Amino acid sequence: MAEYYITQSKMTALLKELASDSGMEVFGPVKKGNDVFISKMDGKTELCLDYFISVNSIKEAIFPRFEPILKYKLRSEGVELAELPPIKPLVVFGGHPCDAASIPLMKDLFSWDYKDHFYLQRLEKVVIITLACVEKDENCFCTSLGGSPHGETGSDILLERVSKDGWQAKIVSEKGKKFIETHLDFFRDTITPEKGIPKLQDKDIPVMFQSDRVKKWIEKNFDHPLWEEVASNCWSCAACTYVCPTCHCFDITDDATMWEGVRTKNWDACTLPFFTKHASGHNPRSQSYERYRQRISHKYSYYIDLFNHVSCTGCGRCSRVCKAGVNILDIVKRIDEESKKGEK
Amino acid sequence: MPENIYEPYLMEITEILQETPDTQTFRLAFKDPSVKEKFSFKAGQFGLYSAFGAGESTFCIASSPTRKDYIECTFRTTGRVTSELANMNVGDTIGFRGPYGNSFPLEEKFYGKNITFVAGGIGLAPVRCVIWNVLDLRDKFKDVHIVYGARTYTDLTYKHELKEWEERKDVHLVKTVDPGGDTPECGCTVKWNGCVGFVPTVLEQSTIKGGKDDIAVVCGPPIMIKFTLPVLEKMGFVPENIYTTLENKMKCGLGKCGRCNVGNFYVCKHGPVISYADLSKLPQEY
Repeated sequence: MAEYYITQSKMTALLKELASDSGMEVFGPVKKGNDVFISKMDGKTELCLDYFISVNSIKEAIFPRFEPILKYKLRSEGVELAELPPIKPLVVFGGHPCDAASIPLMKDLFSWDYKDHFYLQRLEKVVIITLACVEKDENCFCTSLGGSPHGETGSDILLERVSKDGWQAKIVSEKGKKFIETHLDFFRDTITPEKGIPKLQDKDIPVMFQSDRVKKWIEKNFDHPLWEEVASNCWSCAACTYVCPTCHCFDITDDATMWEGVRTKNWDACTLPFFTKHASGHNPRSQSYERYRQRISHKYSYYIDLFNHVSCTGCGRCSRVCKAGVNILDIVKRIDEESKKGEK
Repeated sequence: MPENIYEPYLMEITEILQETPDTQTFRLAFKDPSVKEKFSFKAGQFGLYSAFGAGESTFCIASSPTRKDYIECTFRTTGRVTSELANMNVGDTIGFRGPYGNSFPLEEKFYGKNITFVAGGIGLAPVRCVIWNVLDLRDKFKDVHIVYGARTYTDLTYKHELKEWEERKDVHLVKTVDPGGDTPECGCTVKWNGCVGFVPTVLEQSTIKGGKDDIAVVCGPPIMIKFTLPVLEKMGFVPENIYTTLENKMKCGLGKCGRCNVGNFYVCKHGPVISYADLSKLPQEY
């Protein structure tokens, strides 16, 4: 099989070219302040290629923060439904394997009996170009959940750094193959692999807990005081859920004038206080620790019951973004410890 | 089914009934004749009703699946969407997505059994759907009892139907209002001929005899349900045969928006109908 390489400058040029095409959506790493975000690009957007991990995940390219799901005209004769804009092909560059690993998880949810064509069509049309990891921090734990710093799951193309200036491009899917063939000019250079280029191995991120043991504990300990202890510091700001590649909760709201309206699906979060509040005023999860318990239990127990997979990829973004010091890895490790104690 | 799972059917309001000062029943007809032709649902299922411009709200389908050509919903004015709906008139268009969720196991478990319905306040809406379903197939069931109560006479929903059930020989209705609820309010000339007392108390004092094969359907405010369940068990009903519907906040109704779950039980997908036996296995988060 042919080997493909791409330099940083060629990648930048390719993304800029694609982003100039109005028939396409392109997302890439962009520096805002001191941080890098996976953001929607136009032909002029400056890419940032020198970063460890973006604050947000690639989620928002495929599951937008605000998405029109219905348009309608309000006429004196009644309501008339209007056309929605078509879903454009898209390219997402700059996530890591822990981003891409969320794709099959989210797909399970959005195709659970009722097919959410907004998500699924975008998934059909997206080319996900992932960067294998060369760095890690204390919040990374992909290997504890079956992931890997150079894992291919969910990606179409995986880029492995071979020199200071370039990557070797590994074709993961048919879509990825087609993308490279279409833009072959950009992938033609041969880069001689340099020595001393850092490469992260699975063993560099040790396995820190057993997710099946964590699930067992969660199933039996809904009322355990540990929940309040580990999560009562949560401010219910929901930042953790917004940066998470697998958090998918949403709200549906209408916005209308006298003549027309649009109904949108918007990101929402189980950690927000009003998320589950009934019209009567009753709230089944009124305390912040109850909401955080839902967040962890959903990912590490309920999702497994529904789709046979933990809904967390170990990217550590929620811990990095939390200013209240709520750290998912610490919590899950603590649960694992408790569970081990119980086994004895 | 449209490709877009969030796209509602357009429905025309054909009748509005003011049940109580803050509660209304809409009768709705599908605008598209082909949808009207194909649409079917089962007792216990729910839908998302939308007031275009305001948003969507979740209510059960309050009419019986045996009554074709229309559906009905009963709602209390509490928030943005219900306020908007409450201001609508006959002939106006609303949106409807559904039917969603599971249903009461009528054929599988209710056929050939004695059925007792216990409802409080607006909780009669989901129960009423089953009541009419049962009454429209009356031969398939043994004795049918209904115990229904509200805070005051004014708060009783479906008053015209209570009268109908009272007059029928094949149903036994016990109606009640909370203590003090029988005192006619200013302008109310009705002389109360039902019981006075809370639903669980009235149920316990009634002539209804429970048995391990008998079925009970309970819906109402959480406090009523809490005190009714032990009474039913004392009467001889077993948890496997006591059914209720869960009423958590919902947005999508499709198992995606992530807010109606009680543990791993998604009210919109695995519910809303649940037996007391199954409910007691779930965390108390509803």
